[in-house]
Amino acid sequence: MWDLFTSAEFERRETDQKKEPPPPVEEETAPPSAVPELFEPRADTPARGRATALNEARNEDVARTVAARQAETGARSMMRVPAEGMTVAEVNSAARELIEGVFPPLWVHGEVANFTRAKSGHCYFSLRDADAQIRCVLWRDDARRLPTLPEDGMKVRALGRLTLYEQRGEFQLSCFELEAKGEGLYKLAYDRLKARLDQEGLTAPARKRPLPAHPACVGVVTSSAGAALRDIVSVIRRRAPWTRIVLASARVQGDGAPQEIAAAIRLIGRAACADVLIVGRGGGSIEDLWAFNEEVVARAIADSPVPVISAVGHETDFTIADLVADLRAPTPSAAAEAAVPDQGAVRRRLGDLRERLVSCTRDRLADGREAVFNARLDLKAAAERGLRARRDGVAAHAARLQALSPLNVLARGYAVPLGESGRVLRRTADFAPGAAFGLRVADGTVPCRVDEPTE
Amino acid sequence: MTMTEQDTHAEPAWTFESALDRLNEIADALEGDGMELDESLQLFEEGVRLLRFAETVLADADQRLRLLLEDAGGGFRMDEFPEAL
Repeated sequence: MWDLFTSAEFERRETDQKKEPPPPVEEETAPPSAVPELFEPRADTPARGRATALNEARNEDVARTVAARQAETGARSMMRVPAEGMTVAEVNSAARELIEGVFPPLWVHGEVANFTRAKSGHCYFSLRDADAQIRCVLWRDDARRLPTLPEDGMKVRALGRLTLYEQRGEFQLSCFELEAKGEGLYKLAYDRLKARLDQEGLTAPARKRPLPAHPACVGVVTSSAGAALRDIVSVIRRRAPWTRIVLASARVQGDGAPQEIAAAIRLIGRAACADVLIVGRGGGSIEDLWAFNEEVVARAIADSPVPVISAVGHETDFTIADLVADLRAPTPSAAAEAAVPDQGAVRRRLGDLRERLVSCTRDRLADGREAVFNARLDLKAAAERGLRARRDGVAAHAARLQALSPLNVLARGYAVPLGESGRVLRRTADFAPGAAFGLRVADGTVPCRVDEPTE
Repeated sequence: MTMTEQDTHAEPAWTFESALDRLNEIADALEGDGMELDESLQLFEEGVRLLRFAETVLADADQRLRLLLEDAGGGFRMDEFPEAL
């Protein structure tokens, strides 16, 4: 952090802060002994000695600067004081000028005590050692940059400028950076949010949805100017060039980034245009990636109607977004590879399907043709069988007919008298005297006449 | 919610994914037993249509990157993304 800090940045912040309202009245004040100590630093006092030892490496330059400036401003300490004495305001103003003039911005570390955040958003607290404490103020805009606010008792390191709040004659450190030692504020914020999301079940493995194997459209939420977008687009074009890509652009770092990312995720969901969604950015420091550890982003991912692949460019650490997403990819390129199939594999699969379809239909048709051929054979056989049966039947009938034919009887010597109309004359009454009739014998009909009346 | 662009994502009867799934089903059915020939020929024709559809999808490689923008009033629209990628 020290390295990131530039004097230009400091000047800018300094100017910004001068516009801020003064801190409110504080109940607690530093022990009176602390103030003179700073005006007359005694390197051999226990408190001072500890403080120096703690910050020795980093603040070595500071110490040198202070010594040099004290030498330069030696004349000022001999300034003429009017006989009636100075006004309080004059003293405070002179003291403030002296303090601010002598100390460059410096890191101070200690334990946080009495941390309060005023309604205005400015934060007030003390940093303390076993034997000393210093009032600190952290202005609203700087406080907002922190992942979370520190708790009392945390060991922190603050970068600030020593000053004197003239109205109250209070010596204080006006901070613009705050870092927690050890676990750290980022870790604290991460753990707090993760615990909450875990409890709600948003990180549960059972919640993870499967990705579509062949998405028609991939949604992307990232910066429109970033390398992440370029990587994602080039991987998708290479692997599955038929896939549509829809970008919902969002800044991925800096103030307001979490809100923009969340809004873009929700926009993709509302537009219902994507089958899967990649949310991410390229690698960076924990501060750069921080937006992906914010609650708004986590909730937007959890609410997404389509599966989400997180792609925050870092190999080892998991962001909150990774925990909530349906799949975590280590980089944007890896996310794109997970999102779309490789065209070689797709074409092979399609070819296989075609082959299966064609070959089994061919087999089936061949089977069918064979079946038709067989059926025709069967039919022919059946027809022949039927014909034969019928022919046999006819012969049998003919034989029976033959057996029953009256001609057979006639052949045996019987004769049948037939009347004029061909009626068989069965009784004597059928023969009128003088009537003609025919007598049917085996080989023809003999014309006859009744001679005398029958008895 | 308004859709200012008509062709943004008109849901086709088939998606590539659903077409592949159906093709798989058809192949499984055709390879199975106990199907009438005319039924299998119908399935075959459906399969050929799906194959043709899937191949059309794959051939359509000229996809532009599009930018989804929020409109005032909660709607959205699609723009061509000015690509220098």
